[in-house]
Amino acid sequence: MMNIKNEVRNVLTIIELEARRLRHDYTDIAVRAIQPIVWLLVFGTVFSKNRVIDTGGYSYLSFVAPGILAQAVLFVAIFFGIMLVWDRDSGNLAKLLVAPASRFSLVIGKCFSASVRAIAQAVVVISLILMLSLFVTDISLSNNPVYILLTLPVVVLIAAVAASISILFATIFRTRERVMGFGQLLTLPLFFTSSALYPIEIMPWYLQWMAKVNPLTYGVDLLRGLMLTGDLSNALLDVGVLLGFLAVMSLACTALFRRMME
Amino acid sequence: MPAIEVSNLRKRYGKGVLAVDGVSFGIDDGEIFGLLGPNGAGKTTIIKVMTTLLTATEGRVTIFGNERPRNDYEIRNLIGYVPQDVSSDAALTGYENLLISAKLYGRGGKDARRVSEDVLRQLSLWDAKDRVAKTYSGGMIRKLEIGQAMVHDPKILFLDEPTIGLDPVARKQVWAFIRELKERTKMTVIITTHYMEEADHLCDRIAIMSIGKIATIGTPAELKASVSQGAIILGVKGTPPLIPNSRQENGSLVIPATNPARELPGYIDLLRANGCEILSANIRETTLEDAFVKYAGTRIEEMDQWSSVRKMRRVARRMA
Ligand SMILES: Nc1ncnc2c1ncn2[C@@H]1O[C@H](COP(=O)(O)OP(=O)(O)OP(=O)(O)O)[C@@H](O)[C@H]1O
Ligand SMILES: [Mg+2]
Repeated sequence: MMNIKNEVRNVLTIIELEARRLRHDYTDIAVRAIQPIVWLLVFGTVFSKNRVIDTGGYSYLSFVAPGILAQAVLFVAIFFGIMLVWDRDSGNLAKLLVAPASRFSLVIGKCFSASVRAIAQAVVVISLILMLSLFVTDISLSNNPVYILLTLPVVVLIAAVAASISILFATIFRTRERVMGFGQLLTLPLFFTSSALYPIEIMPWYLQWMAKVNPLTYGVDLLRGLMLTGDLSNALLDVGVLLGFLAVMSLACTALFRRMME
Repeated sequence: MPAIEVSNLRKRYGKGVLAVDGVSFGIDDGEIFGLLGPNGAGKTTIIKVMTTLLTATEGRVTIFGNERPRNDYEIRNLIGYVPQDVSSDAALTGYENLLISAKLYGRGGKDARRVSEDVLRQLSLWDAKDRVAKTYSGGMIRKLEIGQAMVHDPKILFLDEPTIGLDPVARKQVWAFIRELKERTKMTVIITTHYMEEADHLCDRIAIMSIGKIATIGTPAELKASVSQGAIILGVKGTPPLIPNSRQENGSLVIPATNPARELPGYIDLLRANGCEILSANIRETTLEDAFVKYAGTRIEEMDQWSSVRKMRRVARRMA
């Protein structure tokens, strides 16, 4: 029978696989770092100048920087469902599926594989934001290095949650084209209905409602607390919601995983 | 105990194709069992059911007494599987591919490293171990994949078209490697292929499939014997003596023979003794292909070329 120790080792092995993939080719991370910076410089600067959004005493650029980090993480992780379909089509997934690992540890392993890539991405994006903050007076970040380091475990969690959503999509829609299409359809609403770009308080009621069920909101709240405001009063709730979301999603993925191979 | 027992297996994909339509067979421990059949016959589907990747729509599958799907976990520990599609990770080195496989089968860090190194030496891939797999030749990749499926000393190895898309030399190497592996480990091997000659030389028993059903099962010799006999074809000047069952065909004398190569000298002597001159001598052995054509009902070359092209392209695309 299966045992916990084996399952944990399987999860770690699947994560190791991703880390090794990344080590051989990190151009993806470099290319993806461009987009957040463009967002920050163009979008952020425009809004900053016009002061259309009330961000409670912080410059808009400072306010939006954690949101942009969350976006970068989201975009990396959402890709994982597509990658899973890709792995299935290529025969790579079969190799994992015939190994004596439970489907659940496979799903969890894949979710946290996304975290591996997301951490690499986050380190690049945070460094760039820190560098910008030296030159652009409108960006000011927490000067507590511990808080900045603590963003990394948060990134791990956000990535795992986003990956679990996209893996669920992969098990439901199954073909590469559909998963890619629906994945894109999912990414933007997730991003725009979270608190990444504007505070929840200024949203119309229906958007507020969507923001509240959107896991990214809780991730952004954590990131913003750590990177900007230092206010971590909601941290426990945020982490709880993210973990709960991950648990539900990965169980759903496990239940539906068989569909992927049919 | 038989290695594999399959009874009355049916597999329907979704609500559509009935890919496997009531198949039963048993495979003994230590056998090399060949699964032949034209494209779409259902070979891969059967293998995927046996390797726990697909659930059967109907029927019973047991692997060394472990029943699917109840004992899938035990089954996975007993089997190694090399899929039809390339399954090594193109972005990792050969060594890393093996290392990850070893860890997935529960080997710890040090043990995993040792096994990976051993396998690399056995496969003669040692010199290429630190190159990423996408730079490997087709033959090297196939060997690596077989190695990956072997890190846990499985009792049964499933190979789905292990030589597809390989040049003749690489193909021979892979088959020699499989045979050697079998000799050394005494494991059971289930193999699908479109190369009749190789199936003939390698397999202890063969099942020929046709559209979701098994048309016949037997040793290569039995299958060949069940179709037409071989023949001796002689160009003869003069009047030959009466030979039972012989006939004239396009100006040649055709004599049916079970073992044409052995019987040829005798007939030459006989004809010469009767004052005939032999102008030419040919033999026609029965090949497994004759059996395949009879039972599967299609000529394999037409099918095979197209499928090879399709698969090689798929492989090439992935490696790019
Ligand atoms: N995932 C799938 N969904 C629907 N139909 C499928 C699927 N996989 C295979 N089929 C169909 O099932 C039938 C059997 O396919 P299978 O791949 O088992 O054949 P095969 O004997 O392995 O052929 P080949 O020699 O081309 O590999 C085919 O008609 C095929 O189109
Ligand atoms: Mg096949």
